[in-house]
Amino acid sequence: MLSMQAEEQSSYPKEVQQFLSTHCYSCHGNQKDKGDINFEAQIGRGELIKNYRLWEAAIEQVEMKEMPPKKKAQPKEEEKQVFVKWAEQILHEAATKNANDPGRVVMRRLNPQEMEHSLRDLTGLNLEVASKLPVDGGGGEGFSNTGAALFTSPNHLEAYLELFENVASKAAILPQTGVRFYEQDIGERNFEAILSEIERSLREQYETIVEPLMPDKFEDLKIKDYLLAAWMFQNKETFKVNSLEQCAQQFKVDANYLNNWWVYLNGTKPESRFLDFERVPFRNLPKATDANIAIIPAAVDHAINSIAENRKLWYRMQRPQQDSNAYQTYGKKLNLTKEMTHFTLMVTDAGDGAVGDVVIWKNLKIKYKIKEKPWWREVGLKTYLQEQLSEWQKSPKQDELDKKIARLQGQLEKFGKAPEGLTIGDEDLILNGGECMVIPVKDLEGNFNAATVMWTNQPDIKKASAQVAVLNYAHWEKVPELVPGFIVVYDSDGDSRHQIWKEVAPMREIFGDEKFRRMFKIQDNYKDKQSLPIIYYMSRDQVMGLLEAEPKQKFERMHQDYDMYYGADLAHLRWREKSLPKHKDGRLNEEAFSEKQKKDYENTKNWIASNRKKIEAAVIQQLFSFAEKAWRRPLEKIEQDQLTETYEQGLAQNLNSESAGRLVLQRIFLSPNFIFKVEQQRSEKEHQVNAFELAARLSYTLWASTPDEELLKAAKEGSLSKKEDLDRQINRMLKDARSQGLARQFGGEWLEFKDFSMHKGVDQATYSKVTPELLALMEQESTFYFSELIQQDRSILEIFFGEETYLNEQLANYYQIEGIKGEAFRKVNVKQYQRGGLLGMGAMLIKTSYPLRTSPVLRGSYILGNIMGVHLPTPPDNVPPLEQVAKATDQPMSVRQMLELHRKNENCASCHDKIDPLGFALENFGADGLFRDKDHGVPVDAQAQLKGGVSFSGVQGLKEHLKSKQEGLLDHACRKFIGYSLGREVGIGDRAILAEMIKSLKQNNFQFSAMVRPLLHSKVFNSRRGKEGSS
Amino acid sequence: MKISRQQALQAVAMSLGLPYLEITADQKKTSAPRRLGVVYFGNGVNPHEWWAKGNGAQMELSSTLSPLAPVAKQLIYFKGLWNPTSVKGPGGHYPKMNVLSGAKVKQTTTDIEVGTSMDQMVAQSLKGQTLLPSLVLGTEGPGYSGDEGFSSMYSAYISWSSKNRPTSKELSPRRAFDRLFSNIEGSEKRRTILDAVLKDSKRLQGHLSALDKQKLDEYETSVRELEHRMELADKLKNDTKTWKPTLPETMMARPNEGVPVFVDDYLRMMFDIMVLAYQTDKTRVATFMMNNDLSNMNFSHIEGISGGSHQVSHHTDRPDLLAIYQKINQHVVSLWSEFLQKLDQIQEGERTLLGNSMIMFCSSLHNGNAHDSKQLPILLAGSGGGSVKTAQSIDLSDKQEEKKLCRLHLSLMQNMGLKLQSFGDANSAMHEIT
Repeated sequence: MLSMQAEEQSSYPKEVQQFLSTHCYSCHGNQKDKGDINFEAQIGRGELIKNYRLWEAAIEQVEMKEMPPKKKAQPKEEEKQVFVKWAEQILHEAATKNANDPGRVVMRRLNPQEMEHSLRDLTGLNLEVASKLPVDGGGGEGFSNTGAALFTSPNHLEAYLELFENVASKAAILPQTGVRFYEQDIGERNFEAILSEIERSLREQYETIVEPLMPDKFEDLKIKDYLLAAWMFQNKETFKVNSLEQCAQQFKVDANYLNNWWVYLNGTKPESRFLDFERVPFRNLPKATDANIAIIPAAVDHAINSIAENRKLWYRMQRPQQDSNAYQTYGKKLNLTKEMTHFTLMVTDAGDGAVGDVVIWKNLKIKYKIKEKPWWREVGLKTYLQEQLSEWQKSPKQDELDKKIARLQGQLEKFGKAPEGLTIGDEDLILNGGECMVIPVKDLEGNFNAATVMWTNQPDIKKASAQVAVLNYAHWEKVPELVPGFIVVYDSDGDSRHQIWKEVAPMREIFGDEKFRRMFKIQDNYKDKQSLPIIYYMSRDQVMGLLEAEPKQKFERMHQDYDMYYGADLAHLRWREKSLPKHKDGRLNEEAFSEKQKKDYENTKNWIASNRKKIEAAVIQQLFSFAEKAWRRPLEKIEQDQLTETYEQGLAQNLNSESAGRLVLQRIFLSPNFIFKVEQQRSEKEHQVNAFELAARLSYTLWASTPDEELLKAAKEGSLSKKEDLDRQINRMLKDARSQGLARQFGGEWLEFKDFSMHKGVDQATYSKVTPELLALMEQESTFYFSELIQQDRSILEIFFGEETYLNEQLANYYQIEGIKGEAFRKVNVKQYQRGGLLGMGAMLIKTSYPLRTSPVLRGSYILGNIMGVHLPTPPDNVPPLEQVAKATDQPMSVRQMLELHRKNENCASCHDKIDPLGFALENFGADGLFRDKDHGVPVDAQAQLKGGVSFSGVQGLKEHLKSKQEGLLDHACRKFIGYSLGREVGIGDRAILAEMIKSLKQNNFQFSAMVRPLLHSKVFNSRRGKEGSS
Repeated sequence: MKISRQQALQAVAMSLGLPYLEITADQKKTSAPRRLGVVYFGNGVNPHEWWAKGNGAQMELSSTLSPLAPVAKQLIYFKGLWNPTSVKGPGGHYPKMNVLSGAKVKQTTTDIEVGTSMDQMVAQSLKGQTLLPSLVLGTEGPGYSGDEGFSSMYSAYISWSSKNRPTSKELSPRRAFDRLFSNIEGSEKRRTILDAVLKDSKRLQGHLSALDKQKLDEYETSVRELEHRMELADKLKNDTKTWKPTLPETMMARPNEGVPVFVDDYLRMMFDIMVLAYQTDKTRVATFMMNNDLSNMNFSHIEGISGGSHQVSHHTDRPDLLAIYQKINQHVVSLWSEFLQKLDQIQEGERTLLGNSMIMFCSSLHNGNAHDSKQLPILLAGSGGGSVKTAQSIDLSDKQEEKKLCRLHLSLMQNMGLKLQSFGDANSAMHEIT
């Protein structure tokens, strides 16, 4: 509205006054002020400049020949130019006066997509958020992040409450690990549930870390290699090594396990003869003499082999030893091969004397294959020996033969002989502890079987302990105390068991029977410290040593959480209460406590309480850190106090520390500090936003999401005010995958492909292939295109003129483009298909069509409005009916024909002359986005003719035409970007920055970042207006 | 009781800049309360087939209006009503979206302004009597473009809580249902959170610019509204009303997440929610935008219809397109008629729910092809608890003063208990309907 101040001098120069009075005053003067516009009112130049919008509109109307109306007298071209030139001068002054005005940026609420991205980046979860919130409209330059057009209603608050409750129920809040979100709802957990979940995840973590390194099968134990590596370190001076790691590397074994082997082999505790089978021979290994480790001396090799083989044998008996039972009959079997000359039946006394060690051997049988015949012979051992004896007795005399015969005779004597009180069969045999019998065999292929059992019906059975062995060689020496690989049989109730078990148990600990048992031990690391030198096991420290710094820290925090929760467990109190005096009804009888009991009980209570306090204090600190991330800035003390207050209110409502923490999380999310991009009014004059507010502007511009840790850190350190650092952040953020948010929100809303998957304007019956799935693919095509353009910093002109697009197999099939296989999207050159860039994309072509046919008007408007940035006035009311020439022929007119009728009418032509031709050029693309030569049998006419003799044809022609309008394209793209970044309309004060952005584009191959950087460095972006005046 | 409520309302009214309102005596009777409804559809009508003639039993309906025959007795047909401000100025669709306020639509993409709508004025006055002051439903969201200098927000809203704030429109059947029936009351946790964030808001107030403060005010108002609603839900549960709704709680199953794929299912579901809302007295004011203006909602499953609604509305007088246009109009009317019949089947004392209601049916354009809003298609159904004389055709085309649509709004508002003497550009109520 112009004010009427008749006293002031008119500010119009004479020619302008002439122009206005002739052509404008009659409708826009003191008598009549149509559209509330009055040029006649006298006003000073200052007012004229302030009302620059009026002159902007006036210039546009006059240049488009909208005004004066067609039916009135039209000004001469020169007169018009005089007026326009003068009005432009006003605008120029207004632009200068308002240069770099930050503009009216109204506080912006996060829109649903920004909310979704922010929650994604704060929680690490891909939550569906946008669909659960009320839809936001847009404004300004046409974006849904325009503050003035974003409203908050109770509907929003309710939706937020529900959303944040859902998000919070996915949060685990632990004192050291902090706030972590999980895909699955965690729900309310009581103390025990949390403690057991901490334990579970610790155990899982241990398993995950160690499992790949742990030997699986027996062969993987690589005993020999470990022993060799240990021997190498034993001779470290000779081999010139200083660490076990080096030896481990040499023999390609795990350094941690080698360390465990070393400790074990060089130790003496625990005392166990079983363990000495490795330790002693290891310490007695021959010394190395040659510094070349590649050559292992035969003696060393032999000795180590023997240790390894024995170890394997002992492994075999570890588990069965547990069930050793003198009352059980144990079958003994031995395979006989042709090479064998002897085998030995043996009973050791297990080193505690032979008292009670009486073993009955029954059913001793040899079964062997008769030479060159297909049948087998089974013969009792006694019979076999008798046969052997007769054979020898028949043989010619030899030296040793007599001795052998004598021995054999002695052996045969033993059969059937038993001590007092025991009866055995004639073929059966008794061997006592410390006795053995060597059986000669020759060239036999078969096996030997026997059933052995201890004599239990004797008074010394409780003292009995013996190994019953069948060995595949001759054992002539004194029967040892123990032979590798055989269990010690004893009465499981007996005295001898104790000592034997004392020596077997550590062996089982150190060597672990099976992989899963070893894993259990490792998983117990979080609570127990193992003290034995366990071999294929890793202590907590060894596991930590496997981790990099960050995962290590995280893992340590998990342990700290466990320690705190363990200490806060009421179970300790319950345990104490078990032994405390109680009343008849079960309640504690405190008066009956002794002094010590009283003290202990109090101490336990206090200890638990103090641990709980520790947990709560730590949780609150975690919540403060989280709030800092969510609110995108450090908190003030009073804000921390208020969060603590909410936490304590939660505790008072009987929530446990995690649940109270969740209440605080919801409160953090619901706060205006999260929901709004708050920017404080720090001064009456124009001023800069602070570093954190700038960080938020940057991240919401470039990512449509919250600042990440790195950006917040830069804000904290003040580096965002330094040009190079700011530049670095901008480049980093553009390259980051999160800039897809910019592609969707900026590109998608500007070029209208956002949410294209939900487009309903296609007639399904006619275009049955255009399903919602296809629309979703097309939306992806456009989104990827824009997103890659940003991340690869390509020229923005490629949007319009590019030759490529993004396709997967399904979409390519639809477009009838050949040779694309697979579901993944990839860049494809589609020039030969007349496509490439925006103008060939389904999202654009279908969006600008009606359900049943193309609309050159919609397409032309799209190109004019979205690409060239040309404003069109509103269509007039009361569009008169168009003549239907075709009525005579009964043929409906083609779209083109109807539109040409439009343009016969002058009122319509002024706009449609500009709109329709652009749409005609795209007529080769149907309403389904497919290329066509014919439309319902009629050849497509893609000719376009503009006023002033410009003509072109088809989409290529259109692209060429647009190339001649490059200035306008660049200007419009930059305007859009300003409008998006700041969430406002572009105003007169933006002319300077616009010019800078366009210049930067031209100087840098039109790369996307060249548009972004000048703006984000400028005052327009980093400042706010002072006290709000009228705009 | 009476005084404190008035004082409360006064406080509300002052803060919103509304005129002081008072509940009339007859609202406090033990008969069923009156309901107000507005159902809107975009893109106008085929002008040749939108008419009714005669009164009472002799009332004759055009083909488009024929689905209303079962409820013709409760119907009023208006001809010639308009909002003059929609004609003076730019053309197109957007300037006509002041159907319920009568004020001029501001040409802007940012500072949108259209005037408080009459349904929201009634809603504000009834605050505290039902769980929700009003239920605003729709099927299409706003876009974010700024064609022709008008924000596309205009085509998506007809209910405005203040002159420049559109009332949030619920598109999700599930969320609308939850708003009515979920247990929002009594959650101590929620109250703790809401109180706490109000503190944050208060702290911020001192640090913001004037414009930003306005946005924060919206937030604060919304938080308080939620808190009040929670208290109200508590109170209403224990309130022994003299009049009880015929259906205390819902029998309808909670709708699934998302939106029905088939457009008619979606529309019917939203209508059902409106019926339910009235029947359980969760609200007495409901507004439903069946589609936005400029919508290309597609009813091609109906025999004889093909093409999007907006596209078809630009029929250029082609007979085939006009026929499709008419069929679309008729289909939309038939869905509305189904809704009215459902209301009419619910007995509430001496009248049915329809008899206790006043449901307006409207579009923002007459002949869509011409973007003509010199007369608007307006129907009114329901006797408003006896305050409306139905079964009439009222033609005010020649009466310059009387044909202001705001007169009708004023009448409806007065019937709902507001003591207003003027609204928009109307200084007298539409006594023709009493």
